[in-house]
Amino acid sequence: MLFSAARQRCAAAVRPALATASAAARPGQTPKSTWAVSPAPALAAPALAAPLTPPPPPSGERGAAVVLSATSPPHRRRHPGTYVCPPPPGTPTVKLTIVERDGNRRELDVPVGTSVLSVAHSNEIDLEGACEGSLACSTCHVYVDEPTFERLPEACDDELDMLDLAFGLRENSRLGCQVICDDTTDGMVVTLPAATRNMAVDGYVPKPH
Amino acid sequence: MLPHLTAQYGNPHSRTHAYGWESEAAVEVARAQVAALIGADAKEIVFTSGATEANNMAVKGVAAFYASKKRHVVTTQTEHKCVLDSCRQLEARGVDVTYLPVAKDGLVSVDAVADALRPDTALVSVMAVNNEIGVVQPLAELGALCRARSVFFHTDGAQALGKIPLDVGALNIDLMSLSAHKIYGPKGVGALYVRRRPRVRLEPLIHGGGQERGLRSGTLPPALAVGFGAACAVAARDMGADEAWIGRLAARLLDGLTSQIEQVFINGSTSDRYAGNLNVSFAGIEGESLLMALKDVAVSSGSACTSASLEPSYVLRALGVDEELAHTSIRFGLGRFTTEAEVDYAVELAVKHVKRLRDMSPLWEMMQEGVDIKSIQWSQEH
Repeated sequence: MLFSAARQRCAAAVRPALATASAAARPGQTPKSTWAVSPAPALAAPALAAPLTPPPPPSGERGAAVVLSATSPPHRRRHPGTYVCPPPPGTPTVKLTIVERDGNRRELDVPVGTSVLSVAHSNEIDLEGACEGSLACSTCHVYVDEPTFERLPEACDDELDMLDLAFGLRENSRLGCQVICDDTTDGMVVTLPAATRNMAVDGYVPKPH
Repeated sequence: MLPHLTAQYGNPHSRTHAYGWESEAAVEVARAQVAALIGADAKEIVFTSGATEANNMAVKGVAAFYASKKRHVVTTQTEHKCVLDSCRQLEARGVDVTYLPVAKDGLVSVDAVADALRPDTALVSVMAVNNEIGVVQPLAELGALCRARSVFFHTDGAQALGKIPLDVGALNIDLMSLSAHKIYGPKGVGALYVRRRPRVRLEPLIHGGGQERGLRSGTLPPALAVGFGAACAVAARDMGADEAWIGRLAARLLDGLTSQIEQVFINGSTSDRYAGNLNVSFAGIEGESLLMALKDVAVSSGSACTSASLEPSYVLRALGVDEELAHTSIRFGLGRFTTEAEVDYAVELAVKHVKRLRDMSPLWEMMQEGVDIKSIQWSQEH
């Protein structure tokens, strides 16, 4: 049931990527997928009525981070909260502190609209996101400091279901892929739990996906 | 159940082959059947090995998860041993537990519960139907109180499931323990209802592969789960008819006893009770002798789990029942398959042996003469 639900979500995420709808056109819906559809001529999408053009930059509070540069392939879509290339200058940033497993504190300035998971990946912090933010695992489980935790929007049932499976669950647990940094989270301190479901007792650390 | 003990041997957690898929489908059907009986969503049912495990999970799990902020649990003195023993374990770990007394009719006062609540109370646990005396606690009021004060409300519904109508939404129940074998299902399986909205978190007792939402790891027994589900489906269908039948039998039993012998006392409220569980005390005789005399009838003194021990019933003690009277108590259980002939036989046997034991009982003789037993100075300590 887990996998079929994830497959459905992925399928749903791919469809709009082939059209020209942007995330802003579906207000109120939490974008869940970080799918990037690689260009593959053999698996080309069915012919579209209109030629593909890069979708306009997403607007709205979640889309404040510009995720597509003019040179990225048109049908390459990413979760609006993910960024790989540095955001353009002028993007508002907020403060985020990530406390790693060994106690090391990383003070970061992160663009508004990015998720904690993508921040961790961009800064090579060891937060495994096995399902890449599609709400199908609990490996990006983090503890949020109490004051910020109260201010965050409430987790949806799907996130809570995945959190039930997380190792070392606490009252202030959230999934890193669902916590989006914005003005309300300025100054947030996020702590990584001692282990995840996928961690091995022999110290093996999976490579970032 | 039989197919799952023979040909359909797939592990319901095997996702990759048809054996697993068919077992999983059967388990999920059963899960939905259990949920339907209590007005819950199927996702909120966690299969366990029985109500004892479910009670342990609820009490210890909730207390452990919220331990950093909540250090208090409220329960009653008449709960099942597994709840009380779990609470004692919590006390050993530094959690405060308030064991509320009950009134003479066995019911807990909602005001007493309200007074006992503290800002750091994690859980209130009050059983729905008592296993020894059959009284039904005021679940609706307790649920409303707990919801208003943001405290989780757990109820041990093992004796209530399928016997009285239960709706976890209407009653504001956050956790409920369920047992299969109390409603004619197989032994060795039960469930814990864990509310998802607002979400109840608990620390699992059993860790492992993350089955049952991570709350109870371990391979599920498809045969037992399917049996549980079927029992729930039947109970849902037959609840009305059962209530009428059992009510008639209970009246027949009670009338039969009280019309032929005197000094018969019902333990527990006569109004807020489940008819199929009747606990009566016979004054002036010794309970164990009566129990042995009633070998042909499957009754018990106290409840099944204490029948081998010599402890007097703590439930009857909580009711304020005299120790002498508590020792003479017999619990008659009536169910879907009990016949009128069986009830008549039980009445006949009980009357015969109570009269026989009273004939040879010096205490009874003294009581008949009007002597106050309590005023007697016995030459030895009991």
